[in-house]
Amino acid sequence: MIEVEHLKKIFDSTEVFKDINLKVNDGDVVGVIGPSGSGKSLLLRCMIMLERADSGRIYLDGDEITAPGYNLDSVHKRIGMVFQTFNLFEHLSVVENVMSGLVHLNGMKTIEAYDRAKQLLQEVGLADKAFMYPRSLSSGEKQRVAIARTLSLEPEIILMDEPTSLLDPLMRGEVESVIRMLKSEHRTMVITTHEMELIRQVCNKVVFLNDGIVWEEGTPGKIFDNADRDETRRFVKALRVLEFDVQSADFDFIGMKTQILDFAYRNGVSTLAMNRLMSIVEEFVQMIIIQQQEDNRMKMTFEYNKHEERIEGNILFSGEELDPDNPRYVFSWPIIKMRATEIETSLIDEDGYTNRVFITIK
Amino acid sequence: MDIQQYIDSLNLMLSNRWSSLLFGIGITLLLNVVTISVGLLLGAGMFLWRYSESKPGVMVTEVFRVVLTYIPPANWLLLVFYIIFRGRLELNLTAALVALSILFGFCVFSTAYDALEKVSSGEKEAVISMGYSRYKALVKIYIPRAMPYFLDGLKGCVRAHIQNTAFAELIYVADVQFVSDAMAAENPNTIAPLLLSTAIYVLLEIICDKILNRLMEAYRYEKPSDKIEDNIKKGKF
Repeated sequence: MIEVEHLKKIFDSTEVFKDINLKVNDGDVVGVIGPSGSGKSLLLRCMIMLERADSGRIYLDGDEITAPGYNLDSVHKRIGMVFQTFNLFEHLSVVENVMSGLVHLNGMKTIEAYDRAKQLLQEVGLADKAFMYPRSLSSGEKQRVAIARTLSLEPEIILMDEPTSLLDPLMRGEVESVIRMLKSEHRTMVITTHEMELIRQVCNKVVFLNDGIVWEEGTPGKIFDNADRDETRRFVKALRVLEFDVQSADFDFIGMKTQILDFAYRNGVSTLAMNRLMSIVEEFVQMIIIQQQEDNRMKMTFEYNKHEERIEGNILFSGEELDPDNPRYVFSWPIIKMRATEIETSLIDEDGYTNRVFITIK
Repeated sequence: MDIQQYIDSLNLMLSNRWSSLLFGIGITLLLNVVTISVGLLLGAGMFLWRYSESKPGVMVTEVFRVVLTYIPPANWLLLVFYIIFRGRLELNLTAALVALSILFGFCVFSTAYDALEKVSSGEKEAVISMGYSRYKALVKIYIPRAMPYFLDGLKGCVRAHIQNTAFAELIYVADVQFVSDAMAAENPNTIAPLLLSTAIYVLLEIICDKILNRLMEAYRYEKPSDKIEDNIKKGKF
């Protein structure tokens, strides 16, 4: 139904889109996720031609809507958009907001448009607020009016730009119910959101935007539980990452400690977890780099899961095989074992690293 | 001056100068009615020209904006009179009509554009995404949305305009001497007419304010629900 090919867009000298490719079929409910600044909103705005990409093409049922001179009226008739900031007409009452497109654009008679608007408001649960003005509504109610107004023009595709991001949890539930209702009606939708649970429940396809491209796409099950790529996994699990790449004994170990403190402070890591992490890092550095006094390298990657309050670490290092019974490790290894909740060691041959230790800190 | 001189001045005015007073009131009304009417049309025209985003429209309105923002109204009036109308006294009324119409037209244009800015960018995006054309959006959404702000700004335009016509009248009646005499208090006979003309201008401003307040009431947001339903049933939307 709608196909995006090789979309490129530079915004304020930043290359937001490098090469975006996406296909949305009839009946799809596509969730678009990604870090802030990845271009989620921009993608929707390009699809409805509120913004023009610098290059690339967008097809709507085979018609190239990005072609110069293409009549955008037909695009706006077929694609509707629900905005993060609702964008209701402040001078019109709720029912008049929903009627506006029907009367002004579809040429419907006022009384017919009124009946239709009331029907739509009933579907979104706001029939009793028909004569109120946007100023008097809660944000959840405003968003439902915005959805009703979009539905009034019967678009084939509905784009929703972070429809619940400005809402508190109670209001969010109201709007999510409406979105589920639209899904049950087999509407084609593209939704950008940070609400992973909503995506799991309503979307049949998830697209992760990162670094200007579609970094990964797939079913919700695949993306959330079995992502192919680290960045996808880290994003969907809201993991915070701390990495160290120690190439020699000249590494700034004092700076490393400062980084750990800063990471813990910024991400709300508990003092206990932070102290354990600090201890483990110090012991590994002591054990592998300083004590062995060889030209060893070490790479440490720690992922902090805020929801589960857990740190998982992958420590890769070169040099001799890690033998916990080696007298050289007699002080460090017990400390590491004591500080870690779980610990697993394995031999590897990857980029010059020979050992991997996987640890969990809770 | 003492009280007796004021009374003498008033008596002199009432006995001798009725015809010139009525004439003066007539000129005041003519200047205001004509220049406000022409100015409204001119301002609307400038606004639409600018809204069309054509290059000439943007350039011309921008030049007017810069010129008329920084030139004092009195200087503008005299410049038009002396440069365009070559200082010809027989054309001084025409000069006043032209200069004041342009001045008021510019004020209307600026006020309209400022009012349009009050429509949020979000509402403008909603309008585009729904499929409104530029002009349909203007007529159906932006004008009703911006009208209260426009009318509020227009009140200021009208007030300033009426005050500007006072100076224009002085050019017309070639009566700058009248003012300097009054200020120097050399001619006590100027005081009563001066007070009377001031009262007339104040009254005119009050009347215009009242008319605009009525209009603002009609364009007020948030009508009661029975009024909305009534309008819809009458097909008014």
